[in-house]
Formats: sequence, C-alpha cells, structure tokens
Amino acid sequence: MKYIKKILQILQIISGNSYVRKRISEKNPGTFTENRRNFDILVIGDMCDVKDIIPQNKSYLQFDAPDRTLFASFLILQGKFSWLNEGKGKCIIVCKKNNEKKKSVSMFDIPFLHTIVINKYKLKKQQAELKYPLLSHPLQVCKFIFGKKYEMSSVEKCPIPEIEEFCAQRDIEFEYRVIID
Amino acid sequence: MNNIPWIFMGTFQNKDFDLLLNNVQIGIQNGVLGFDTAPSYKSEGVLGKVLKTLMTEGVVKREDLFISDKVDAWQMQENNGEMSKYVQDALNKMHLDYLDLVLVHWPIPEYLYATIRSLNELKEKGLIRNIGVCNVRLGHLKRIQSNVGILPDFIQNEIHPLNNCDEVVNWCNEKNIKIMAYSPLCRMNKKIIESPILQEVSVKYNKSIGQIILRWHMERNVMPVFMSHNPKRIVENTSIRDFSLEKNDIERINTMNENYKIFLESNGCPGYEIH
Repeated sequence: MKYIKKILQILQIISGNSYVRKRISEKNPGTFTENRRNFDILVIGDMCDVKDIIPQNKSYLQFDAPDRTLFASFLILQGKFSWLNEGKGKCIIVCKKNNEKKKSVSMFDIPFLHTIVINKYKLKKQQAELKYPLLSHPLQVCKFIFGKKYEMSSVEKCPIPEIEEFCAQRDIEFEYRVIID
Repeated sequence: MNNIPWIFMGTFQNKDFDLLLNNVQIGIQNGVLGFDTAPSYKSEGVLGKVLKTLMTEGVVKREDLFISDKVDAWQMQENNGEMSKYVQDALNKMHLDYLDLVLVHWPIPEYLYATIRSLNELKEKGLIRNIGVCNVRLGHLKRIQSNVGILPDFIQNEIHPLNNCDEVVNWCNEKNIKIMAYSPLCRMNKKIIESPILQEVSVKYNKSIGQIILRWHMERNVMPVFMSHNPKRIVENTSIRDFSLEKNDIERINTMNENYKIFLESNGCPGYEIH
C-alpha cells in the first residue's frame, strides 16, 4: 500500500509538471497551429488585465508571466514582433517597478526564446527548470495559474531606451506601462 | 556550372528513405533536378543516400542535379560565421564533392557578414558553386553588398500570392540574382483555396489552383520549392510548362498580397531587420 501511494504521488507530480509545462507553452502560439497573422497589438510582460487598454476592434496577442523582467520582455519582443501587422503594429510592454532593472530571464520566458538567444545568455538552467516547473518554482507556478491580473499605469518613459529604438527601426509603435500593485 | 533548375523539390523533415526515393524518382521523371535540404530538416543524409542510389543506378548524373543546402542559425553562432566545418560535414553526409548552392538559412544580424565571407571562401575553393541567403529583404541585400562587397547568387524567401515579396523579387530580377520560393502554395491555406481570383483563373486555363500558382511563380522568374509525398501531386505540380498566364492574370494574382507568412521572420531570426 505504501509503495502504491508513493507511485501515485510520483505520477501526480509528473502529470502536474506536464500540465504546467503545457499551460506555459500555450502562451506561445505556433505558426502552424495559429492561422491568424498581422495582429494590431502585442502585450508582453507581467500578468495584467488588458481590457482597458485594448480597443474592442483591435486584434492582440498577450505573452504574460509572473514577475517577467523588462529585460526578458525585450528578448521576447525581438523574437515575436513578426506577429504584428508590419508598419501598423503596436507593442505594449508591462513591468513591475522592481523588475525594471533586473537582467534576468525565468523558465516562463524560455518557450518564447530562440536557441541562439538561449545559448547567448546561457539559459540552460532555466531550460532545465522548465522540465519540472512545479518542483523548481512552485510559488511562481501558483501565481501563473491562479494569480491575479494586475492593473497598469498610464504610459510612462521606458527605462531601457534600446526598446524604443528597436521598435522605431521596425515601424512598431511602442508603449511602456508599469504595474499598479 | 550545373544548369539552374526551373523548380525544386523540398525535403523539409522528410527522413524516410523509401518515401523520399520514390518522390525523387517521380520528380526526376517529370523534370525536377533541383533538391533542397537544410540541417534543421534532418534530411541531408537521407537525400544524399537517395541521390547516390539513383546516380549509381544510372537514373541521373551528378552534373544534371542541382543540390541546395543551408547553414542554420546555431551553426553561424557556434563558429562565429566560420562555415567550413559544417559544409564539409554536409558534403560527407551527402556523399558529395561539392554543393551547387549553400544558403544562409536566416540573416542573423550578428553573424551574417562573417558567414557570407566564409561561404565565399568555400566557393573560391570549389566546394560550393553558389551562395544564397534565405528570408531576406532589400535592406539585407544592400547591406551585404556594402559590407562584404558581393551579392548572393540566390535568395530563397517564403513567396506565394499572399506574400508576393514584390520589392525584393523585382530587385533581384534586375540584378540577375536567382529567386527561390519556399512554401510556394502557402500550404494551400483556406484563403488560397477560396480565392475567387484563383478560382476564376483556374477555370480559365483548365488547371488546378496549385498549377496556376506555380506557373505564376515561373512567370515572375521565381523557382518554386514544392514539397509533396503524393505521387499524383508531384506529377501535377510539374505539369506547368504547357501553358502561360496572361499579364492581366498575373497582375490579378499579385493583388492578393496581404503580407501573410506561414514562417514568421522574427521567430527564426530574433532581431530581424525589416529595412
């Protein structure tokens, strides 16, 4: 009986991990599974409620995760901006004040990043953590699954000017907003 | 130099020897002599084996074939653009002495120029006959010219009626850069199948929509890289040289452009430059 319980617990952990991994990956649409293109708006960053900032007639994609840093959001933007309608798209990055200066990337960011970015920033640890998300970051996983969606500030000046420059070079309108905690 | 093919057969993720042998044989019987692969397709080895088998059996000669391979982003990064090791590996895997064309799969900004320089050295040594770049815009080509001092011999982009790449196609045609189109039928997207323009043109010429699109590529001096596992479809796709499209119909198909791409550029190339 003791062994059966242990086996069941292990199975629960394994299936829990695979469920969470699936939920994280679902946020990153595949080009074969998602037929829509030329979105009006991309929202990248911390978990936020977008209903007040996205006009009803606009199409959008939201890539959100708990405590996503501004640095990670920029990396994601660099790999995902082609979802936008070229020349007419807009990117909104949302971040908590205390995550503006951190140069870190979490396991939640990994599915959005190209192999060469993972290699460049040596993100093998985060890649490994994503295999067992419940074990590696249980609190963050709870925030991700059950966490509240924050409200945002009005538009503010982005503390990383390179993001604005990157968007301007690609004809993307850029907006930076801060989470109101 | 081997003849430049009018159409290519792609091998994206086709790793099955028997299936590929059958497809390639049917292709060759119907005039396909260009074959395209890449490290990320995992088909270099099996394509090499298939072609070696057909050459040994006397079905085709090496000098009649045009074999196109690529260098992938991770290779560009791993060796800072120095490509000789990977090209030699590909040649070994494919049992070949030279490749007719090696394309840079994605124009990764940090490594693009070093990669082109390295491929150019391999071209001078005779291991590569032509150099190309995939997924490019006009800006990439102009920057390659100003930074490396050469232009690629080929480009390969996702081109189909929903993404006609007019600007780059016209420029390359002017400069005599050969143009290849991957996903030339946009994987028969619903917008393609249901397009009234394509339906009308298809009825007018008594050809399938696929044949009309492939002919549209030819009329624009673009070589389609098609992929199919269906023998009937391979025959259909290659039966497009017995008719031509009127200028008016080409222009009507051109109006379908809506910048719709299956493969998003920034997904394959973070920081992709659009200008």
